[in-house]
This record gives sequence, structure tokens and C-alpha cells, in this order.
Amino acid sequence: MIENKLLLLLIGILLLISLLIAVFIYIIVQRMIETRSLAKVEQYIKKHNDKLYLYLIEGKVLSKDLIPHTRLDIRAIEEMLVRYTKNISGEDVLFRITAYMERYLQEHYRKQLKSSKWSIRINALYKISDFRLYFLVNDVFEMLNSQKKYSKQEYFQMYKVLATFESQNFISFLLHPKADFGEMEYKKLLYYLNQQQFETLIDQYESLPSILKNIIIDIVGMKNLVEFVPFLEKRLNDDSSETRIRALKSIDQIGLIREIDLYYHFLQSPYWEERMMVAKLLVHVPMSKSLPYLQDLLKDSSWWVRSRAAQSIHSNKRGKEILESIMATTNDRFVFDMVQEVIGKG
Amino acid sequence: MSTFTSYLLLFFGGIIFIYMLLVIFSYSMMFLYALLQLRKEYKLDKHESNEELSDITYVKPVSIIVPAYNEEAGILDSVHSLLSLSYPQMEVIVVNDGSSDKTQDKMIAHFQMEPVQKVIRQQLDTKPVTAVYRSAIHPNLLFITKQNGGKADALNAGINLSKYPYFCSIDGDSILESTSLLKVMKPIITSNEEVVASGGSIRIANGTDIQMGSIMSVSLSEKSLVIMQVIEYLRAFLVGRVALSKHNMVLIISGAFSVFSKKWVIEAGGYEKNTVGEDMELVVRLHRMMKEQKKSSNRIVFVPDPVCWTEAPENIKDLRRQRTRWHRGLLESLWKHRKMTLNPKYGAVGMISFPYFWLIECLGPLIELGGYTYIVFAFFTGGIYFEFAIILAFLFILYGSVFSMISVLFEAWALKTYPKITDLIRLFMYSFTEVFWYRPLTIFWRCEGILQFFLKRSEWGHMERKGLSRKGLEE
Repeated sequence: MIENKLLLLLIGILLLISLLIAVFIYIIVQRMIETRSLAKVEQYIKKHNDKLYLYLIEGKVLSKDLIPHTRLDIRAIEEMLVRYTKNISGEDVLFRITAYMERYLQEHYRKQLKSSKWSIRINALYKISDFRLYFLVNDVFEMLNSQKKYSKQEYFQMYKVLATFESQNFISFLLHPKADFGEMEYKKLLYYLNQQQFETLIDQYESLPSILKNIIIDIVGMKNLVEFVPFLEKRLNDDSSETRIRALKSIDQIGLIREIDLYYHFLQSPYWEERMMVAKLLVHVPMSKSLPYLQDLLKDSSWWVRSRAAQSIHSNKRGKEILESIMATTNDRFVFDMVQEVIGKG
Repeated sequence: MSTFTSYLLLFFGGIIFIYMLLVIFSYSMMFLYALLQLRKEYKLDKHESNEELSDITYVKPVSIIVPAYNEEAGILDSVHSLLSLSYPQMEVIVVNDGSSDKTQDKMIAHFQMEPVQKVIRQQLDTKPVTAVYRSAIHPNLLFITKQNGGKADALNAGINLSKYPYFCSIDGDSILESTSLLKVMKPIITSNEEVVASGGSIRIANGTDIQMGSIMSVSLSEKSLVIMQVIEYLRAFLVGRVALSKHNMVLIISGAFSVFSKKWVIEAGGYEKNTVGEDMELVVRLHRMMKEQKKSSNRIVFVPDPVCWTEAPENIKDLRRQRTRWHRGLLESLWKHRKMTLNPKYGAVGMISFPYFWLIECLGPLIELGGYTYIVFAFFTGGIYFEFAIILAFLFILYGSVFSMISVLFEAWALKTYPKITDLIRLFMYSFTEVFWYRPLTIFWRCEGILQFFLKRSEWGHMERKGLSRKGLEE
């Protein structure tokens, strides 16, 4: 009885191992084929690179040899074009690349977008924004409007396509997102908006979800949009301290303090982050005005605020001098230590 | 033979049998999961998805902390490779943990270190820091000297000095690729700071061509001991981490290369000085904190990209030391936080990770050792035990070798770390032999680790002073 079972088990394990060996051989053969196709792709690139150069850079007529016939041809050409986009910038070149793709690879990408494989679809979506394949934007719209569910990464890529091509509907899609995007994703998407779109968004600021509000504030700072400083100043009285801190940060990045009165009340803020941001901001104000406040902040209970205040003083032309005189007169140990450290950095 | 002994044998055999089935079942599940995961990403253009991250506006600054104890041989190379990482905003802090060799002289001379006055926020308790230096050539390179206090203490001192909100702990002997830091930071950057810690996958560097701290070409070592370790890392990677990471159940992210949120680590009290497995202990403690504060959105993740290359021990003696130590560290962490085991309060970590680590990773070696003994014993006793032993032996092969073979298949199919076909064939052949020699060896060492754990416990109070030396040959 038990011997029969043993035999069965033995056969089972042997079968399993043979199966594994078979799969292994299959994978190895696949790898060999892959290696060979890679070599072929390389060969194609070597053979045709000059012709592509003539077309893309010199603007000559496209050689017939560059019309792709097989999958490997497409792979090789894609590879070459990627290299060009990475290394050469120039409107003409980009235009010719897009033109080539429109003519010869349009259907190829369209098919890829409809592929059942996630990785193929996402690669195709990447290509649309990389190569500016405007002729596929409608396909992306169809995808967005379809009932089919895509992954978060795909939706992000689709949104990015809309943003890149400054699509009119982008903002409405943004306000009703199809996926649960995070701050960083929104930041990337909003970063692509053109001036006009950005203004539309700012006009609707009050009605936006708080995640978008915060990002808009950040982007004004990141892109150095001086014309929106009044908008930022309004945010300084927001109820949320998160919003106020972000606004302070963006104003600091732009470096434009129009009215110093707006910032005084932060000196007494219960949040050390706000006091620290003010200590940082005061760099943009003449030392004669800012010094009394900075000296106060130097005695702050928070290490961060003291450190920032000392650095702000130090960045002034006469900063070192001032700090040295503070060091000589103070009897506050914390102030002394902080000033010493900042000066010590040289 | 008395009926009593035969019942006893049957009983033990039964336990081992059930255990093996359990293990084989859980491994199969995890492999299946890894298969689905890798299938999804098959042919994804990885370059594309990483590239967009390097934009300075999105990244978060990181302080890299390198604890060094008697590392004069490799410290300059490591620091050079760290300085060449492509990351827009970072500082490198080398912590000299009271080395008795020339680590300090070399660092000071080579990088033109100059003493600076620095107020250190003593947020974590450490042995006294004696001096702080800043490099005149690389302003973002700091060097601090302190009294010897062990690796955990050195890391804590580095955390105190660091100025950025995230820190990365790194072993002196690891080599990073230039994009490694970006890849490991990716989950943190993209998650609205919900990710509290992120660890990279570790690969074995022996055999690969490394020049000036960067990988030139990857190939397999000639040494069978190293090849077995390659397979082991591969399997551990597929089994545990891909599946566990997805559901926030990771308990081990390697200390060789991981990033932590400073705020969380300081709140948790920094690295624990009283264990040999400070990296795992910290991760478990963070899990505990997250659950106790009911912040369900916070996560600890594992990044599957191979990003950190480390030198594996090449001889039996060093490997044995490493493994006994690892196992002791594992047991210490599990023991210290044993309350979390099967405690629904701790969610999946308590209900799934902990039992898994206790039963399969920690106590597994004991049962397997029992299994090997049983087989040998039954072989000589004959009769009904003999047949039962054969069944067990088959299960061992299934467990020890077949899963390793499958891991190599995964490598050949999707991970593709080793480009040479001959390397793959060698890996596959070796994986088949695992159960006959390498597996028993490691089981033996791990049991030794368990033994050490109990010996150490009995002499509690004696703080063991451990250094942090190279290649996992700590002592």
C-alpha cells in the first residue's frame, strides 16, 4: 500500500523536476533568440544610422530603407529615435521625428495602446508624451472615456498626455480624477500647464480640493511666477497652517517681499515651522529692518528657528560682524552655541 | 523496539511532515504571487519609469550615514562611490566609531577634513562625540569621531548630526549603482510621505567587475559557496519580499541599504544598541508604532530593483559567523516584540508576518534539523520508518531544491541580472544540489544561532561590544 504511494510521489517529483528542466530549456532558448535579435537590432542601427542622420539633422528626404517592415526594424528605429531625442534638442528634429512616427508607426502604437498587456500599453503611453505623438491624443481620450478600468500609472500617463498637449478638457479631468493620485503626481501634472490654463485653475482656487490648493501654491514658487505673489499673500491668512507654511515657502522661493507688515504676526506663531519660514524670508528684507526681528528669533525655543535666524544674519554682507558682536555680548548659551556654529562653517 | 519509541518516532515524523506541507504551501503561494507580479512588469521600459524622478523639484533631501569601525581598507572607496551618486540634494556623514586603525587619518588627509563647531541636537542618546569635521573639497561630506559604542550607537550619532528629513543607512562595504538612491527614494517621493522606510534589494557582488565603485559587468563567481548564496538571495527575494511588501508586511529590509524617515525613527528612539540585528529590530519597532498610533496609511516597503551590491563571504568560517549572527538577530527581534505575535491589534504584521517568521524563518531550522536526523535514523532502523523517511526526503528535495530551481527560472525569465547563458546553466545545476549539502550547513548554523541566543540571555547584563566591520564578519 505505502509502496504504491511512494512510487506515486517519486513519479510526481520526477515529473516536476523534468517539467522545470523543460521550462528552463525553453527560457534559455528564448534568451538566445532575444540575444540574436538584439544583435540584429544593433546591426540595423549601424547600417541605417547615417541615413537617419541625413533625414533628421540635415533635413534630406527620407531614405526608403528606413521604412520599417518587421518588428525588429521598428525596435531598431525606436531605439535610434530615443537616442536622438535624448541627446539632440531642436524643433526641426523633433518635428521630423513626429512626422516619421505619424507616417510609419502610427498604427503600431495604436495597436499597442489596445494591447491586453499592461506593460505594452504603458510603454506606448510613455512614447506619446516623449515623442509628442499628437495624432494619438484622440485615442487617449477614447481610453479615458471608455468603461474599461486602467491602472493608476496608466491614468497618470494619460493625464500627462493631455497636459503635454494642453488639452482643453484637461482641467475638467483633473477635477474629476479617475484615479487616486498623490501629491507628487498632481505636482507633475500641474507643472505642465500653460499660463492660461494655470490662471483658469487659480480663478477656481476656492472651490478646489485641498490637495490641489496646496500644489498650486507650491508650483507658483517652483516656477517663480512673480505675478502671483499677491495670490500667495492672500493665503497667508488661511485657516490651515499647512497652507500658510507653503505660501511662506513659495514667497521665499520667489524672494519678493512687498509689504513686510504682512509677516509680523508670524513672529509670534505657535508653530515653529512658521517662525522658521519667517526667519528665512527676512533674508529678502534690508538688514536694517530685519535685524531686530532676527535677533529675537535667535532666542527662539526651537533649534530650527534659531539656526535659520543665525543663517539669515550670516548671509548678509555684514553678517559675520553682527554675529560676532552678538556672540561677545550675549549671555544666552543657546544663542552663543548657534552663532558659533554658523560662523564656524566659514 | 518498544511500542513507546515507535509511537514517538511516528509522532515526530508526523510533526515534521505537517510542517513541511505547511512550508511548501506558503512558499508556493508566495511564488505564485511573485509570478503574477513579474508577469505584469515583463517588458516594461524600466528606464522610462525611473528617469522622470531625477528632477530636482520632486526629490527629498537625504542624509547618508556610514558607520565605520576599523575600515581603513575600504572607507575611501565607499565614500567616493557615495559622493558620485546621482542625487540632487544629499549629505554624507561618516561616523568613526572609535576605530583603532587609520580610518580617521585617512579620511582627514584624503578629503581635507577641517574641524567645525557644530551644535548637535542630542535627540538620541549616544556615546560622546569627540569632533566634527567638514570636507574642504566636498562641503556635503561630514566626518564625526566618537567613542566606541557599536554600530547602532554610531548610526544614532549620525542621525543626531544629520540635517535632512530622511536618512539612509549604509554598510561600508556595499556598492551602490548611481541611480540606487533615487530608486529607493521613489516610494517615499511618490507616496505623499506615507512610506516610513524603504529598503533596496541586495545582490552579491563577488564575481562582478567593479571599478571605481561602479558595476562594469555582471557575472557569476566561480566559487560554489558564493553561487549557493546567489541562489539563496534570489529565493529570499522572491519568496518574502515581493509578496510581503505589497501588503505592508515586510519585517526585514536590509541594513546594508535602506532609507528611513528621521522623524519616525527619532520618535521610535533610534537604533537599539542591545541586539545584533538592529536593522530588523528597528523595522519591527516602526511597524509597532504605526499600528499603535493607528496610522494605517503609513507603510514600510521593499524596492525590488537590484540596487545594492555586497560582498558575500567566500569561506565556510565567515559564512558560518554571518549566519549564526543573522539568526540570533532575528530571534532577538522576534522575542523582544513577541507580544505582536497573533495579536489582531497589529494587523497583517501580527497575524501573518510574525507567525511566518516564527514558524518558518526562525524555528524552521530546528524542525528541519530534526527531519534530517529522522531520515538518517530511519534509514538504519528500516521497516515502516524507512518508507516514511523516503517520503520526508522527497519533501525535503521539493522544499530545498525545487523552489531554488524555480527561483533560477524567474531570474532567467524576468530579472535577467546575469546576461551570460552559461552562468544561468551553472545556477540551475547548483540549485538542484542545494538540499544535499548547502541547506544542511545553513540549517546547522542557524540552530547554532538559536543556541547562542539562549546562552546570551542567561548572561544578560553583559553588554557585548560589537564592532561594525566589513563583509558581515562582524565581531
